Amino acid sequence: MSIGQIAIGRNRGYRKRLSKLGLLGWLAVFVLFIFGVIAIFGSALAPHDPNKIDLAYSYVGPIPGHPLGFDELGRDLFSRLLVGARTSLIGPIVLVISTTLIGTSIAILAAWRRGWTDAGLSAGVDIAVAFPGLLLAILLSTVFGASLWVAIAALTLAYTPSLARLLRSSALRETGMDYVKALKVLGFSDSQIIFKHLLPNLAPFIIAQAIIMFGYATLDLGGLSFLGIGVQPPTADWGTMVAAGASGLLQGYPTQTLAAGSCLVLTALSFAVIGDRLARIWGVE
Amino acid sequence: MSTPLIKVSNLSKQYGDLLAVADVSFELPPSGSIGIVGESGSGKTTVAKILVGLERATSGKIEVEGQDWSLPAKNSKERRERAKYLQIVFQDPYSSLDPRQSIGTALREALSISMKDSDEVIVRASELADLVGLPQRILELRPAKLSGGQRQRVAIARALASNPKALILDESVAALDVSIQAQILNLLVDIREQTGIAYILVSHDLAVVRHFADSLIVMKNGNVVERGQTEAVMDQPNHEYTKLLLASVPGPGWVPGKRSI
Amino acid sequence: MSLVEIESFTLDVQVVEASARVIHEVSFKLEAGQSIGIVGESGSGKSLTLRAIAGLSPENSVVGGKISFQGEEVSAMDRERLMQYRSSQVAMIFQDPRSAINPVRKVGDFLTENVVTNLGWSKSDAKTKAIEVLTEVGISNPEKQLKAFPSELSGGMLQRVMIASNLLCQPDLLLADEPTTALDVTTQSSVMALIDQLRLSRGMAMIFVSHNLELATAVCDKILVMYAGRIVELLPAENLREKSRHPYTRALLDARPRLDGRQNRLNAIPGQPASGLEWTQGCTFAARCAFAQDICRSEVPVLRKIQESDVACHRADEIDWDVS
Repeated sequence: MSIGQIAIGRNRGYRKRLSKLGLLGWLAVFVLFIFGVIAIFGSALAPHDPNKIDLAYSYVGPIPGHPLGFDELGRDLFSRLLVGARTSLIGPIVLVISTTLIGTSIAILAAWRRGWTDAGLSAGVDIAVAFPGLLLAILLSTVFGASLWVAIAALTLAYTPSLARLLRSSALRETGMDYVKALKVLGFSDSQIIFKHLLPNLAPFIIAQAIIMFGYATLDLGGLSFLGIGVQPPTADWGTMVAAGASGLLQGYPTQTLAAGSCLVLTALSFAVIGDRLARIWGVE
Repeated sequence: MSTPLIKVSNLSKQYGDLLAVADVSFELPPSGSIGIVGESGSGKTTVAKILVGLERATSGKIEVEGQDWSLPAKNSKERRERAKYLQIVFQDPYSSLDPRQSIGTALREALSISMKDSDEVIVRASELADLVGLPQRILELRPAKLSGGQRQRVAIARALASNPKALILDESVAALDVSIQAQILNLLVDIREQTGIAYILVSHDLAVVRHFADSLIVMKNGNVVERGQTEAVMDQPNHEYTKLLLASVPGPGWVPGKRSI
Repeated sequence: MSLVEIESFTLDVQVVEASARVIHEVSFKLEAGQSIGIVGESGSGKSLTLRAIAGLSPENSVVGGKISFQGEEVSAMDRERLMQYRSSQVAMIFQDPRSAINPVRKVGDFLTENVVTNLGWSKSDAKTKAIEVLTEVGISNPEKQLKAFPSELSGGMLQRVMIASNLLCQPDLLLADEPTTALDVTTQSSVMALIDQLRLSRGMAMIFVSHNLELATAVCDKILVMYAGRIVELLPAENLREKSRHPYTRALLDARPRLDGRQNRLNAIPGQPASGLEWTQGCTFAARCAFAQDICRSEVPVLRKIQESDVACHRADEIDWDVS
């Protein structure tokens, strides 16, 4: 029993253990760093105008100065890939932030108030989890018209319940800790305890969840763009590029779909790996 | 008896069909000590939680220096006001401190409720550490680096930050090693001598209650089955349940009882 | 041949990439039908010693010395033999019965699983026997309880089920690790009475690990006091109160508040309980001991026989406990 007590210590030097990300973890960080740089400086880095149409070059393969060749409208693929990084990454960022904010609020409210509040919110969450996100997205886009923001709103509604459910159980565990009760008795207000103690202690868990969610968000938003519900042409975006490339795919020109698709998958995979590693490092499931 | 510091009258708590606390009354004089004795399910901890406002009583009255405390504090101002009267130390030393906070930060935070001057807070935090017998260097450390006994000292120091008139000890020494338990019990006696604080001792451990409490109530299934001065009750218990409790404690010549459940 | 023989048992565990010794040269014998209580504070190594006898040492640890059961070395048993040993010759009861019993399976399945899968009993035989042992541990209406889930039973009842499961196959040795610590005092008393009575009627030997000296004394023939991974004293249980010689044993007895009268202050032992990891040149208890002298800080005391006790203390024969 003494050994257990020595080894168990929550958050014990977890910053030091960040070095335990592993080769794969660091590779993922590197990939995301590169994509981040591209997202910020993409339009400056792009060698050509990503929206310049020249039908003469339709589906032309790589030639000097155009390393990936051209798409069906004769636009430079490499430039579109670089410029598309921004829309492709901003969508998931907004989606993850909105989901995390709403999901965390619901979880904490339920765990803090318990009783009827918890029962009501949990019932609502259970119903919402059962509702398919894709259907919701299609529904919203027919009502409000297709745009990136509608896709984000739909996916936020789809993601929030499951996140809220996950966070609720850890929030319940944390609010059950004696230190939370002691702080109440010491005279601290609910908001002081929640913001200064509860949230910082839940942070590793929330962050790990958010990062894992980032991967799904990239793929799902890409998927919605592919279906024409998300980003609208001619804006360069990896999801729409996969979609636009689909017709070329059948005609034997897979480059556009493959290039944009690999970027999406690589991003999603990197986030998943990092989220998983962080969760392990922080000792949360 | 002088006017009581805390007066509890006909306190009851209902959870669904279960009557967890049934018509419990007792008084705690200033600088006095009362033991609430019982086993799991007796309702002793529920009484403690109601007193500090962590649970809401179904009925009954709580008065602290004449103020009505029957309901939990309505707002933060009232919560802060009540903090100056009554504090609590819980059983589990491993969950009673925020793992992310250093001991010094935790103490200074608790002090900041009643003290505005930051220099004064720092001085008082180190005084509190002295009072509970913790070396100053411990203020820099996080709870994970401390032993169970040291954490319990921190929890006591933190509870004393608001200079309360009474302290509830909810099985506060039950999870500690025998040698550490004795240290903490001695510490609590010393603190009482220095500050005149009153104690409500919630415990299943009759020896600890005998050592510590002037009077006691014995609870079973939410009801008070026996009450009186500690010496009198322990030397001549009247209720069958009190007798059974006393007979169940291992000691010289003790043989385990062959009672069926 | 003794039932259990432990010779120079040591345990090294992996702590942050280094190996460290937590149990130091523990040796004792247990005869058939005898009971020994191992008492100590956290870090004393009492539970690790008990688990090693069942071949249940932590995964990242190395066992040294010799632990044998009926002359057979536990560390030499292969997987199959170890399974057989654990399922039919030794029985274990843990502190928290709730975590030792699968919550989604019925009490009856839990009781009969071992004998049916490991010992090849028929299901109906196992059920008949299960009802018999449940009755024996004082559970009324056993047929009904067989169909109950663990969550429907109180902690005391569950510990009885635990005990009953160990009686099915007539073990020679009962290993009890703080079996009543999680229970209420009145329940503790009745569960201990049950263990005691079953042990005596079946002639089982027992090793009883507890932090509670009084409790161990009441149900054991011998008391073995451990501190920081070493044995500090081994003596007949009836001698504990009056004739124990190690300052630590005395200090432990003295530190508890008394039920029969009130003292002003308790005789607390200063400092923290040490674990076996803490390395000192001399006696590990010296730092907390009121009688420590220079020799205590420079030389590790070995167990030596003084009258009926084995004591590891340099000053054991000098201190006059009747005076101090």
